Formats: sequence, C-alpha cells, structure tokens
Amino acid sequence: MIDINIISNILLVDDDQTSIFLQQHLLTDVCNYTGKIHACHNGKVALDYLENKGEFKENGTSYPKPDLILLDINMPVMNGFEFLDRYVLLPKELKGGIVISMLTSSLNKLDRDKAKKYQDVSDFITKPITKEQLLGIVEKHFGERANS
Amino acid sequence: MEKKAISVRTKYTLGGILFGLSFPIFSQFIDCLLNDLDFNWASIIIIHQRNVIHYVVDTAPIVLGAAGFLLGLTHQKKNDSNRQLRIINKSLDTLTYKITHDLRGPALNIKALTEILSTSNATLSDTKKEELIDKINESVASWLLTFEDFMSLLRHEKSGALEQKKCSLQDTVSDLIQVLDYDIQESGAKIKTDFTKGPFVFVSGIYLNSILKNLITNAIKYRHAEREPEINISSFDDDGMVKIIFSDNGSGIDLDKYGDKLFTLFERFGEKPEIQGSGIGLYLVKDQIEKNNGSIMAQSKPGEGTIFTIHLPITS
Repeated sequence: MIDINIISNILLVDDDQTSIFLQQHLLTDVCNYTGKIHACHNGKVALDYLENKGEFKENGTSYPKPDLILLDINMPVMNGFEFLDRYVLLPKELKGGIVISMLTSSLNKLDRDKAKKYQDVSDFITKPITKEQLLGIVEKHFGERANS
Repeated sequence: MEKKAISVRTKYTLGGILFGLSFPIFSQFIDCLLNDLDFNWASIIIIHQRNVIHYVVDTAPIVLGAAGFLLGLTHQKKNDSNRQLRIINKSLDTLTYKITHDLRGPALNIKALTEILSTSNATLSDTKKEELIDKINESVASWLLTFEDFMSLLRHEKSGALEQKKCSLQDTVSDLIQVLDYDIQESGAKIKTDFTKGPFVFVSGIYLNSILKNLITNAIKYRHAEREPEINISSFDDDGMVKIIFSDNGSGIDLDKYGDKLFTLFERFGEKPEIQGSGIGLYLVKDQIEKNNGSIMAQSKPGEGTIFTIHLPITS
C-alpha cells in the first residue's frame, strides 16, 4: 500500500471538532502520517488560510500550501459549496496542485450531484472516511510522486 | 397567495358569463336573420314575444357564470391544497436532510470513537483514553440536544389552534429565570426587566414562554467572550400593541451579511465552532410571534450586542 507521507500538508475543514479529532486520529495513528495537519472550522477560515488573510496574516508566518483538503459541506458562516465558489476564483498560484475531497455525513444524493459539478472536487466521501479511502485518494492523485 | 386564489375564481366566472352571453346573442341574431328583421332592440323584443324559448336562452350567462364560479372554486381549492402539499413536502425534504446530517453526524462520531476505544484499548495512553471518553460524552450530549431541538420543531409544526389569553410578561420571565437557573448562574448573566409600561400581552402562554426562553438562551449562548451577559427586557404601550425591547451585550451578528437569513430555519451564524446549535431557535421565535399576530425585528452590532424589537397584541 502507498505511503501517505508522499504528501506533507493536509488541510481539514470541518466545524465539528470531533470529526477533526477523528480525522487527525486516522491520519497520525492509523496511517502513520507525519506531515503537517491544519484544521479550519469553516470555509471562510480555510479561504483566509489559503490566501494568507484574516487571522493568518497577522501572525506573520506564511503557511505552506496544502496538498490535500478534506472539506465538510455543512458549516456555519461559509459552507463547503460556498467555499468552492470562492475557491474557483483564486489565482492559480494559490490553488495549483491542491486536491479537494468532500467529506460529509449527509446521505443526500443532491449534495453528491452538486459536488460533481465542481471540477475542483476530486472525490466525494460519506463519513466516516476509512484508511482505504484515504490511501486511495493519495494513491490516485499523488501516486506518481512515489514513482519519481 | 390570496390574490391569486381570487383571480382563478374570477377568471372562471367571467369566462362562464362571456361564453353564456354568446348563446342569446347568437340565437337572436339567427332569428332576426330568418325573420328578415334588423338586429336591434325592437326586433329583439319582437322575437322574444314570438318565441318564448329566448327567455330561457337569455339565462345562459347567469347559469354558465355560476357554473364557472363553482368550477373555479373547486379548482382553486385544489390548487391551494396542492400548493400546501408542495410546501409541506419541501419542508419535509429539508427536515429529512437535516435529520440525516445533524443526527447521523454525532452518531457516526460516537461509533468511531467507541471503535477506537475497543480495538486499540491496550495501546492507548490514559490521557488519550480520557480524551476519547470526553469526546464520546460530548457527542452524546450534542446528539441529544439536536434530537430535542428537532422534537420541539416537530411539536411546533403539528400544534393546532392557539389558546390565547392575557399573559403577564413579568410572571413569564420570572418562571424562565428559575428554569434557566443553571445557565444563568454559570454564565453570570444579569437579567433586568421593566414591564411597568406594558405588563400584559394577549398571546398563547406556551408560545410566549418558548419565545422568551429562546431569546434568553441565545443571549447567554452567544455572549461576548470578555464580559458577562447582561439582558434587558422592557415593554411599552405602542399604538394598541405592546412593544417589547429585548437587548443583550453579546457578540452580536453581522446583519449586513446575514440579515436576510437571520430567522431562516437551519441557518447558523456563530463563528465559534464550539457553540452547539441547530439553527431552529430564531425560526421558531419568529414563527410563534407571527402566529400570535405580532412581529419581530433585529438590530445588531458585531462585538456590541443585539436588540430585538417585538410587537405583540394587547387584546384579542
């Protein structure tokens, strides 16, 4: 199986702190991921993170661009789809190479259909995400990194 | 909706009358033609005298107009109930969606957390175990809270005719201060009231209780991080209505951004993810006020607080 550590920066976007905790557990304890994990509690904060704006501007450090974003749908302030609408408009150098996987506890087909319309969304996963699904995403999108 | 319902009925009635008019006009025109008469009032009177059947034909606009009216009425009733069904269907869709999401989420979390505890129990450190147990407790609490919110929503949607009566604002708030004692003590909230200028409202007591409870809990829940919550509730006589001013010094809401969604079902605005909520409270508040023939308006400054202005009837 592929080593998850071919990627080194993951952004988790979810308002539910237990979901974040579980995703972190899956990454570090189950998949032995050692890279960076950053968690944002809504789409707006995630956008600020990518653009180095808002709370991220003030503390002076520039944040590395994530390889992978695990994006929840239902969040207050800015939900996953609203985030994607804004993300599309970002300049190329801010989003190039980022893989976005949508992660939701909803079983609604409409959400899935809507997500398909966004070219930036590469996967749509119903929670909870499993080790196999996570490694599958890494393999699919970053597999060539392992060979090179 | 009302306007459109009337127009359906009117359309059918007018259609019936116009179609009905064509019968006497056409029959009299033919009869004039057959009898070599000019088509005018004098001839019409003559042909009526010659052939009494014309009197019967003359009633066609009335009969067909009445038929059109009845048809329009049935049609409109059907339209109305269809529309109502569509609205119910739509809110059921939203509700199902929210239930699957909001109740499934914490349930999945509980399942995943307990799985970690049971499968890797031996390798977990004590602090990690404690953290897991804390998370399980939080998720169960969140599940229950959401469940209760949904139940209150369902109860509300189901409730039939209101039993409105003269209710004392002071008594209602005093009762609530006892019920919410724990939250008030814990947050250090101060609630000041002045109902001397408008002591009573004519509403459903259960709704008034629910309205004020939701507003007070919201004020405590979304308090400012750096100060203890202060809630001021006062009432005034305002042109046959009672005006209630409900203000807090909480974290406020950016109404320029969210104003149009403030009272919408399932919308949430809190920037703090640790504060639980299901986006039902303010929707219920507005709906319950409106069902009692009142109104609610909000003003807010982020970081400073929120003021709700409520109007409720003073008599039936």
